[in-house]
Amino acid sequence: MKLLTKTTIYYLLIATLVFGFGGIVTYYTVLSISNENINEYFDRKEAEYAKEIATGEMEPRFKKTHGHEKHNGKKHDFFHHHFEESAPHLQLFHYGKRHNIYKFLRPPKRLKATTNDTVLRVDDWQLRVRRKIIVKKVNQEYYKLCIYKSMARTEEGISAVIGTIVYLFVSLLIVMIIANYYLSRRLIQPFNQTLDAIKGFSVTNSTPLRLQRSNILEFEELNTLVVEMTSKIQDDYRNLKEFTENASHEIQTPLAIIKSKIELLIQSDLSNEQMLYVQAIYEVSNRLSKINKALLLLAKIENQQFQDTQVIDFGQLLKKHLANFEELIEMKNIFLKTHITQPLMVEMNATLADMLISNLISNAIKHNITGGEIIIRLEPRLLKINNTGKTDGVRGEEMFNRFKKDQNSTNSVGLGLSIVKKICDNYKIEIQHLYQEGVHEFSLEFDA
Amino acid sequence: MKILIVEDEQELTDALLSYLKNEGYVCESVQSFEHAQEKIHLYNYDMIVLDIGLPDGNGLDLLQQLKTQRSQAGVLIISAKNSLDDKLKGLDVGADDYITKPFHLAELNARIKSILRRRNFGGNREVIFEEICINTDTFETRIHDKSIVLTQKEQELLLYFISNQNRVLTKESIAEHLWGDHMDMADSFDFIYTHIKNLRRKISQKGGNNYLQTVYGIGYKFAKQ
Repeated sequence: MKLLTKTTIYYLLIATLVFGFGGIVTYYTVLSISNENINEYFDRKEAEYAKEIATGEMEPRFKKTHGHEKHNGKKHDFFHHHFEESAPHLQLFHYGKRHNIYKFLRPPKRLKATTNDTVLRVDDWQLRVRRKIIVKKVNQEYYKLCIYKSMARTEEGISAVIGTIVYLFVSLLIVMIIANYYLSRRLIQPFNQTLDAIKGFSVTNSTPLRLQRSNILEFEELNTLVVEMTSKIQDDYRNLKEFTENASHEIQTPLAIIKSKIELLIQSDLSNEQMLYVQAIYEVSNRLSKINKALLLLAKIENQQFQDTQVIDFGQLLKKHLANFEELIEMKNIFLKTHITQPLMVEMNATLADMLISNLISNAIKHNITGGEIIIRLEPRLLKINNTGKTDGVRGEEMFNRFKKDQNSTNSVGLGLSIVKKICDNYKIEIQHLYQEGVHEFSLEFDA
Repeated sequence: MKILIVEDEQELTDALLSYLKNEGYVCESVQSFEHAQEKIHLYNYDMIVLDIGLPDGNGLDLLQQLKTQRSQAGVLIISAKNSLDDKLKGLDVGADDYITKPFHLAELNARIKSILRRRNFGGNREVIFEEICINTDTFETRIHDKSIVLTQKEQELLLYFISNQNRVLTKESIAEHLWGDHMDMADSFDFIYTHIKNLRRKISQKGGNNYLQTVYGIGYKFAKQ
């Protein structure tokens, strides 16, 4: 999950909690305020009616005077209906728009006031109302006051509050998601740049890692550490490489002395036994010098010391090297087949091209079996060299590792294919090794 | 033939001197750039074997000096750096050949002979050993004045042997001479054997003597019995 997605989710969760809680609190606050208003209304009306009854201002009215006929019209007044309470001990005293007042024919048992919410219905119209029933003693007589108050305003208020909250919440969400997206993208941009730089980092490349400065402390710290670490890696790598190179250089002269002295020694009269000892020394010093040369060569390819290039005709090159190895191929009774239909021209260093082909061919001969075959196929962008031979289980990339060699050939240095691989890497040539049914295949794909 | 060896490594100089003196050359050696300059200034040499990695100067500058002096000496560069740059520069400035450390003395000797042959414009380009005669221009080989057909490798092998006559040549040195120094093949030793067998046969067919001797375990020697 992306960091951005994660933070957005967390923001959403927090916003939901805050708004949910805020919504509940607001809802109850609004509710209590409107309840208070209604109660005030009831109290005011109660006092008003009591005073009107007492002073006789309120004349008894028993008939519904208006409204009923209009109930199918556009305006409808619920308060004119269904308010009769038929009880033998009650007599309707006054019928008003929002109240019914009854007179008790005999004194009531209780004087308790009750409040309840109810729904008034006319056809499919309905209205939620609150009714307060009060029993009041005025002028020695008991009256039952039923006062109604529409809840529409209260509900409207509550839904307005909820609506506002939801609206706020949604708009905040949208703003937050957009802002978070763009802001985070801006904020995280230096981090992404650092990532890209690390991805493109190569230990063999001597150019140090360049990172954009950031004014965010954490990223700046990360960048500093990454730069320090990579330059340390490059330094270590360079030191190691230099060591190999220097060692190889320094070994060359002593080796040259050893070899030349042995060559002088064998000119003298030695017994057969002595000659065998000398031969053994000579052989290993030769191997040492070959390893040394190969290592130096690898280092030099890595250091890009083969700069000058020319267009190489690989068909010609193959022919030249096959001629050089002709007799060896014949001696091993190897059947050689070449398909060179179209020329393959590649711009590269002549020495490296020579080395590439001669190593590949000598490899195909060396690891072949007597009476085996070598098939070389050259296409416009492809060179394939197939040879029969045994395998010792070394596969794919491992084949190109340094000092990875066939157990059977002790004379081999085990660097030939590493050199091949290094040259290929240098020129972005894709090299692959396959082993199938007793046939090794090396295929080289050249960049178009 | 006078040869000057410019090489700072004493042991290697000794080996070179020993090998080349045996060939009948008059050899001198110096170990520094300064001494080399002096020698080149004072004397004429037929051949200069020059290590370009000297402690007090670049051997390539000596080449430049030889050129300004219009020296006729052949120059063989020795280098520890198998660097193409040095090779090209050296050949550019007028060196005749280039050899990398470590090398086989026999190879060095063969190269020197080859340079001397090429340098020696007036003289003939024929290498003669008893009844064998190789023309290095036409690559024609004659035994008792009768032409014999040799493969290119056999020809090179014979020339290498004659250049290093009376010397034991190791199989490694022969393989490297014939197939180059990144030859890394045990098979090549068997192949040298086959070549030598063929060479003996072809020479004896034309009435030549067998000068090729096997030196147990180590290689071959080309010499009069």
